[in-house]
Parts: sequence; structure tokens; C-alpha cells
Amino acid sequence: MQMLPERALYVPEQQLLVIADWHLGKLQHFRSEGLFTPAMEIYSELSRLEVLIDKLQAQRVIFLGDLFHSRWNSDWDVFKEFANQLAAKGLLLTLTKGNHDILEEKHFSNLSMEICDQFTLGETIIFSHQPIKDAPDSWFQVVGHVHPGCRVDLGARQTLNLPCFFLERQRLTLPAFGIYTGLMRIARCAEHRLFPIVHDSVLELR
Amino acid sequence: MKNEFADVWFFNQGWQAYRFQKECWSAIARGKSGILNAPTGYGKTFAIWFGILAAFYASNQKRTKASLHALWVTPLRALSKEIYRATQTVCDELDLSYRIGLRTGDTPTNVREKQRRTPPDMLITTPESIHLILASKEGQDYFKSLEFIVLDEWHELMGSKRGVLIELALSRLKALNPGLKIWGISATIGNLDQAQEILLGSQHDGLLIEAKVDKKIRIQTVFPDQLDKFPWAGHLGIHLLDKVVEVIQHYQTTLVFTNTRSQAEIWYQQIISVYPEFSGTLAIHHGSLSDELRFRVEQALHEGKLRAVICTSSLDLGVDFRPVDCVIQIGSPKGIARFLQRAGRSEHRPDAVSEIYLVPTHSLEIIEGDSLKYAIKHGKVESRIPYIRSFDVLIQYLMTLAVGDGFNPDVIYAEVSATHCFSQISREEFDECISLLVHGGGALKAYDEFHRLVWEEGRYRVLSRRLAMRHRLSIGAIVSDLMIRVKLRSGKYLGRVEESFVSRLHNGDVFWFSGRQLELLDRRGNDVIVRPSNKKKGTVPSWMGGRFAISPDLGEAIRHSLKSIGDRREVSPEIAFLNPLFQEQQTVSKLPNQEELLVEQIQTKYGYHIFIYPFDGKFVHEGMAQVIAFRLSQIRPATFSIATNEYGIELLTDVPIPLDMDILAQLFSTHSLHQDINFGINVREMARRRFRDIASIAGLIFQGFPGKGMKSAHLQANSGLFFSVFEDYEPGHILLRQAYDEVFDFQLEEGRMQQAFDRIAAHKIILTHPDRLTPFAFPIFAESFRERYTGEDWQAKLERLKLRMLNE
Repeated sequence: MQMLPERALYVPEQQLLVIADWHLGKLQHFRSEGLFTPAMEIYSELSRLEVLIDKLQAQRVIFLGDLFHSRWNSDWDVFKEFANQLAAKGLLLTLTKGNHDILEEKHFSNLSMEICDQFTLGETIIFSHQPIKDAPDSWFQVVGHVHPGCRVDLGARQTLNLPCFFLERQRLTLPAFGIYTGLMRIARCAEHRLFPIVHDSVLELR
Repeated sequence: MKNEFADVWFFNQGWQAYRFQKECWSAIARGKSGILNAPTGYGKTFAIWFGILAAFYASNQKRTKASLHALWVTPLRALSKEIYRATQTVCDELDLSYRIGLRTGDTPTNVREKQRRTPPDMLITTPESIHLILASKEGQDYFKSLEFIVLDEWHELMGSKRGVLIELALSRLKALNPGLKIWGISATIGNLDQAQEILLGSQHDGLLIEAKVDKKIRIQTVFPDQLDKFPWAGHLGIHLLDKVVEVIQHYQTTLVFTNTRSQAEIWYQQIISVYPEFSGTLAIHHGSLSDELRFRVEQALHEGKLRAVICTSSLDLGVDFRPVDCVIQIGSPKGIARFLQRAGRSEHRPDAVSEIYLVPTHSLEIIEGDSLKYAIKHGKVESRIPYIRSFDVLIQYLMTLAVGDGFNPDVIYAEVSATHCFSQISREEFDECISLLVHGGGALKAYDEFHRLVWEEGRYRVLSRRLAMRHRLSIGAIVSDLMIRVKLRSGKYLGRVEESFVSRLHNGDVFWFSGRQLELLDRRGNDVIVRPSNKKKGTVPSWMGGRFAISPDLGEAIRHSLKSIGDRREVSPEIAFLNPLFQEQQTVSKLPNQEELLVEQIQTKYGYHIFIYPFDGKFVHEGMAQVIAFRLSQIRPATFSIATNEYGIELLTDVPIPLDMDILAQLFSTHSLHQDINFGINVREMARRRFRDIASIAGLIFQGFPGKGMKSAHLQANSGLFFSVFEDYEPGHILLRQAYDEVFDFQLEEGRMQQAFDRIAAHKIILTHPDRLTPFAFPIFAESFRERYTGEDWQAKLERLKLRMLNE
């Protein structure tokens, strides 16, 4: 597996790209709730994924939950069209549902995307939005949900908060792919291995 | 002119009315508006109150239906209660029919409802509550018979955005009642005229009545036994505990003021654990405690049952505690006015002397005793700078009106542009604020789902009940983090702590709060459940806010003290005490005189430090530090972490910076200074920080419905995110512009910075290379809050970080 500085995970053998917590439509949702944020340009967000798919020649994309921020708004339809175009090019799309994915059934009709709670690779690699409780020790889980970040020391009493990948025993948590999301700082301790995204690389924090 | 009510009541009390009280009664009887300048605790309430009473009964108009006659607005709930008690007592004792109501944030809904249906004659309330009434249906009708509005402790509100709330509310109330009489009550501030003009309007013919109470204050510094030559701000003065207790034991009742709530908790905890005999007679009082706890403490103070109360600014105002005969200030009071206010809490009798003790929290703070004496002797006191062009508050106000009875933009524009805050607002800017509420601002997009205001019968209104409800919950101009309620298992509510503090705790952890040691049992939504605990170790919550910089006027006084170091004649005990510290400074580095600027270069394990001591005050230093960092990074690209205090500046880097006289001359050059201020200072970062409050007040950030936990999580976002989004998509947004304006108006004082550079140009620069931190350097080094200045671009910095991580 490759942890990408584009805030995504790639499994080369299966040409599988994993994207967690995109939270599409977030700003549009704020607007529909009467908060006067500028609407974000959905197309520039979509092209982030498109560029990544082209670069990696991915065959399958797993959205690891919280794909869409909340209730339906017009951004969803734009995304749907985009997703169907990808599917038409032969890409397989899967969504493992997250707590924010509350869109009604009807919005998933005419969408070439498999919807499930978890996705299994081989026997033991499990992809889901949140960790599965009481999982057998043999499993390796890949999850999203918390938007992990960590504090990195820059020297001279300066620190930076950076999004990171977070490995704890048999569980890897991905950073949020969405840029308009916050970070939850993960504590540094012996059991946690943290891999912040530093510019164009993912490096382990020691 | 006689005031019969006052005459009878004062006679019954055996009191003599002061001249200023008689002047007020007479002025009110003549139908005037004005400002009363009087310190807390000398009967200023009665000066206005009997005027209002007499006017009410003198009026021939028969009020057939219950309607509001007067509004009394105070900045604090505790003060509101105090006014209520005082005025109600008069009515009771004189057996008057005048009905008084109290409405604050914690008045129960059913009482509010009753106040709505049958208005009292006078309502005592807060600025926020007036806006809440305006945000209800037929809210404006409520005020239609209003004759008086009193703005109590107006100086407290004026320099804040709550002052803008008052200005806006007044503009509406004046329009509803052209004959409205306005009375402000203010302590002495540097710009009393402006305080009056803001309330009464620019063309007013109101009065300024001064109480002229000449109060004696005795200031004593509590000296440590030994002078610590490496003063560290982290000590919190706890090493002076025994001496503080000695002072407390010497007096009847003492108020111990700390600057932060956590400091109050720590002091309480320390005194109780070292002197357990105080339990029962020592109490704690701060703004995060529940009303019930605070009320009990206030009550006990009144009854003279307490020896001391550890408190914060929560006891600065109003509440008149007769038995208090001594005040202790822990740490710098940060401002002259605040110091005077606190000193005045002891001994209210005009002929008595107010006793105040200063407890330094680090050695250099000892100097402030000297500075405060100087400032008071020369009558120096801060001005309150009113906010102008606060579009965030305006947007909130427009929404308030729309949620209530709706508004017509032409009418409201005329009213708003007559206020001081918005006297410079253009119609375009006003319309921009409205357009944000109508279609979300920016370019209208066809598929947009934005909705907030609706145009209906010549008025903008809000139709969605949910939006209206959400708005009412967010009215106000005080921005605080999400607060978590602390409750005992029985359900008893103790007070509030910040979410960020609770999130660091685990079940079973112990912390100090409300003067008790508590164990965290569980967290449920916005509540934490606790029980008393005897475990030894605990943490103390820290609350954001309440941290302020030293005022420019106190800063000036401190500089005056520092300049008198070399002056051998007539040194104060404070300066004499500090002498060894100055000697040490001279030995390891240099003690600069008035014509010298000292620069120290020191290497420690943290990196390479440059210390500069211009003695120009924290505000000027913050800007200056960035200009110097900018100029240095032109010579050698680097990232600096910056700390400043009253005396000087620290620039810290992880790479060595070569300095010599030529470079130093360049750094402090006045050449192209204006340009370097504009390019060099990280205004964006400052604006970004300002934007947090602005976004919250304007209604962009929603804190959630109380008690509903994270139900509204889908609307949570931090202001930093919004700031970036606006920058990307609407760089000219009115709220972004406001954030930058506030930075330039309040944070960067270019004029003062220019003066400082000019002065330094005439100074001799001295460069030393001490082998360790000097007494001057240490307190700056120990400042925990740091700015960052980057002379490198973002990517270069991350590249550097990457290399470091790869090499480790």
C-alpha cells in the first residue's frame, strides 16, 4: 500500500485508490442553511480526484465514507454526473457508508456506485468508514472518520499542524481528502505511528 | 429643585445627598440627557434612580396600560441584580407602586413571558437582552412608551463590540421615541467627551455631571524575601503565599483579584491546602461559576461572613460590599483604570483610604508598583477606543430586526448611519451587508439554495422558524468557545469549562474547579459529571479570553519607571528593591541608559535568540518585531518565532543570524519604513485571528443549540476554513475587509511605530553576546504566546522540515 501526499491511499496490486472523508457539498450545505459562505467550486474539487486517477491508472475507487457532507444539494448532482462518467470509462466505484452519508435512497439511483458498509480485500483487509469493533486480530482495517492530524516540531519553538496517516496496531486511519475539513490531533505515543504529509511526501514522525 | 422621594428616603437612612446627586435629580427633572462621571460605590445609582422616579410621578400622562417607562442597561448580570436590589428596596421602603423587572440571560422563560405580556415600569437588563426583545414578534412595540434609558458602567461597554450593540439598539429606540432621555454612567476615562457623544449623538445638548470624589489610595507592593534575578512569569506569585495570607489576616475582609480564572482556582487551592483554617471563610468567585455559587458568595460577603474572596474581574463592577477593607491584586493589573476600579472596592466611605496590595508574579513586575503610583499621581488613565465600522455587528442587528418585526432598509440605513460606529458607512456597504443576508453575497448562481431574508410588504423578514431560533441563540458580541457544563451526580450545576479542556481529560482524572477537587466520572453531550475527590494531583482548567496586554498608558508609566533607574535621588522602594537585578544585567550584558538601545545575541538549546529592548510597549513591539524579522530575512531567509513584552522583543531562529553594526543600522533604519510595515508584517495572519470573532458575530459560525450536543455538527466549521474560502473565492468580502481594518486600527499602530523608529535612530546601539539569558531577556523568553514570522515561502519551509525528518 502507498500513502499518497494527495491525502489518499493506493494499493498498486489491485490498482485500488482509497479516498476518505471528502465531505463534498459542505459549503453549499452551509449556504442552504443560511450561512453566507461563498460556494466552493465543485469542479475544482472533482478534478483533484480525476488527476489522481489518471496519474495512477486506478481501476477502482473506494470512498471510505463521508463522501457527501449532509442532505442533498445541487453539488450532489454534479458529482453524480462526474462519477457516472468515470464508471463509463470502466472504473469501479464503491462507497462504504459513513455517518455523514445521509442521502436518501433515491439520490443513489442512476449512480454507478456500489454502496456497502464495508469492503473486503483478500481475506483480511477490511475497508470501512469507522473501525469495526471486536474485529479478529488477523484483520487489517483501513478507516477514515476522524480526520487525523499531528503536530510537527519545526525547531526554534515552532510547530505546524499537518494532516497525517495514522497506524495503530492493525488499523490504518486515512487523512480526510476534503480540503475544507478540520484536523483532529492524534497524540504521540508508543502505540501510534504517525505519517504526516510534508509537502510532496509522506514521512513518518519519530 | 426638590426631589421629594430622595429627600424622604435619604432622611430615613440618615444620609446626606452628595452635590452630584442633587445635580442629577435637577437635570432629570428638567428633562435633560447626560453623562454622570462617578466611581463605583458612591451612590451613582441613586443619583439617576430618584430622578427617574420623580419624573414618573410628576408626569401627568396617565399610563392606562402597563408599559415600559425606563430601561436600565448594565454590562454584568451580577450588577443587574445589584441594581434591582437597590431600586426595589427604595420602592418597598417608600411603598411605591413603581414596578421593577429584572431580565438577564438566566431569567426563566416563564418570567420573561410574563414580562412580555405585562411590562414592568422599569426593566433592568443587558445589551444582549434588548436585542433579544427586538428579535421577537412585536418586539418594537414593547419599547414604544419608553422615556428613559440608562447605560450603567458605560465605559466598560464602550471599547467593545457590545458597545456597538448599544449604539444600534439606541438608534432604533430613539427613532421609536424621539423624546427619549439618555443617561450614561461612566467611571473616569481618557475620552469622556467621546463617551458622551456616542450616547447622546454628535449634536447633543446633554450634560456632563462629575462626582468629583477625591479618593485616597495607598499602594503597597508585597516584596519577596529574596530578589529572583531570573524573573519568570510562570511562578504566579505563589511563592508569596505566606505574605498574602498575612495581609488577609490583618484586615476584616479582603478581595484578592487575579487576572485569570485559572489563577483564581490555583490561589484558592493553595491557600486552602496550606492554611486549612480558612475553609468556610475563604471563597472563590469567577465568571465560569454557576450563578447559584456566585450569588452565595456575594451574599456571604454582604453579611460580612468571609475573610477573603479570590476573584477575577467578575467582582470589578457594581456590587457594593461594605465590609471589604482591603484589596490584593495578584500580578500586573494591566491597566490604570482597572487598577483604580479594583482599589476602589475597599472602603467606600469618601474620607477613608483605599488599601491595595500588589503581588508581583515575577521580579520585573515589581516595577509596576512604582509605575502605578506615578500614573495615579499624574492623573493618567486610559481612553476607551470605540469600535467603528463593525459590519459583523451590523449584520447581526439586521438579522435581529428581520427575525423580529422585519425592517425597511431605507429607514434603517438612515438610523444606522447616524450612529458613531457607522457614521462613515456608505450606502453600498450597507447594501452589501443586506445582500449577504438576502442571497449570500457574491455572484448569484442559478442553482443556489441560499435563503435567509425574504422581501414581504416593504420589509425584509425571516420566515424560517429554524433560522429565527438559531439567530436568537447567537445574539451577542462576546465570542467564547463551546462551554461544557460541570455537574455533580445529583445534577447540581457548578459552572462551565471550555470544551478544549474537557477533551484532554479522561474519566477518573481529577481537576480543580469552583475551589473543589473533582473527579471526572462521565461526559454526556455538553455536560460532564463529576464527584468530589481527595486524590492528590489535579489540573486546573484554563479559560481562553481574559488574557489582556498591558494598556498603552500603563506601558508608558512603566517606561517612566525604567528610566528612573539611574536616578539616585528619591527612588521608590520598588526600584530600590530591584537594584541587584539591574546590577546583574549590567554585569552579564549591559544596562542601557535613556540614549541607548540594547541588543543581545544569545544561543541556547532552543536555538539562536536575538533580544532587543526598545521599551515601547507590547503593541508597538509586536509590529516592530515583524518589521525587524522581515528586514533580517531579506539578509538571511529564516523563520522566526517572536515573543514580545512591555520591555522588549525576542526573535528566535534555528539558524544562526550574523549581526554587526552595519546590519543593525539597517534593521532600525527609518528608511522605507512605511513600505516595510506594509510588506513585512504578517497582516494576513493577524487578520485571520481577528476573523474568528467577526465570523461568529456575523452569524457564520453556529455554536449549536444548547443541550443538543453535537446534533448540529454538520454546521460546524472553524473560522480559519472560512477565512481561506473567502480569500479564494471572494477576496473583497466586506467581513474580510473588516478583519484587516481591525488589524490596522487596533493592533498595528503605525504612527507609534514610526515614532519609535525615529527615536531609536538617535540612539546608540549596543550589541552584546552574553553566554546565558540575562535578567531582561528571561521574562520575554518565558512568554508562552508566540507569533511566527516566515521569511521563507511555505513550500521551502516544508522542504526544510522534510530534510530534517529524513535525516533523523
